Amino acid sequence: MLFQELVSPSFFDTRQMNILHNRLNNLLSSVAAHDSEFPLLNTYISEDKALVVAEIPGVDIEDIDLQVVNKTLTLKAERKHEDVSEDSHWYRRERVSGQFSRVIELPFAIDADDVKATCNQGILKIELPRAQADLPRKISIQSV
Amino acid sequence: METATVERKKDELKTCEPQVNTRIFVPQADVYESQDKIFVMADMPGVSEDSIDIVLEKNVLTIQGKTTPLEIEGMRLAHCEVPPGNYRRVFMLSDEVDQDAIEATIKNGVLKLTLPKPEKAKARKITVVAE
Repeated sequence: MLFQELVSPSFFDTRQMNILHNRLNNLLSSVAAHDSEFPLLNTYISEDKALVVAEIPGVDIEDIDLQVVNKTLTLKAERKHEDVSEDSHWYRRERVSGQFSRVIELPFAIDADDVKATCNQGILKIELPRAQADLPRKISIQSV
Repeated sequence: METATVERKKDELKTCEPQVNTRIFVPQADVYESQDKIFVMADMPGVSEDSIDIVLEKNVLTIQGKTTPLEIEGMRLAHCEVPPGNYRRVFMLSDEVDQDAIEATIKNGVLKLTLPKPEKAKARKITVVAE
């Protein structure tokens, strides 16, 4: 059975291969997200804007760097170490520190001049309005 | 079941804590000790000083933080790495902590607990006197 499926041309159907590929990707990305990614983020999308909500506990606002190019948002941040006196010692060190960056690809171009970002209680919210030129336009049909 | 029993059950349900159907995350934490204090730092983004609950019962220190889910209208969640949920973590304290003097502060979503050691538990340097 399997052999027959393998040799049949439909098995190499590109559409099916794409679906398989996407599924594998989704599976892998969901595992990676909770292991090592920092900051973790949620992305909300509507017709005319996107909202990225990132958890960045312990990061100062001055240490956040946001860049928007076309469809891509780059979030760079640095979480600094606690000032720990030399004679102290660690029992547990789970909180990662250092420099981080994440690149988020959005489904539409962003109006970089109008991006707003706020940070409160360790949660960074970035509002990204869709560029005017990229907005869908309704085309009226004229009867001849 | 008799009506009286049903009524009593209903009353019991009202008085117990409402069940919340959300996840409970274990916040990542650092624990370190200096000469006279023990520090606990825990990542709890989205938790304010009003929504945090720290309970010390005997030697068990429980930290709980409630978050308010984000209300976003007219937008769909396209990518999710952080589902809504609250935080909870339990630490066992040794006797070497002055339980009345524990301090807690929260800044940028990071909770910092300062647990001072009582006088007798502090490391002391003993000077040797030559006879």
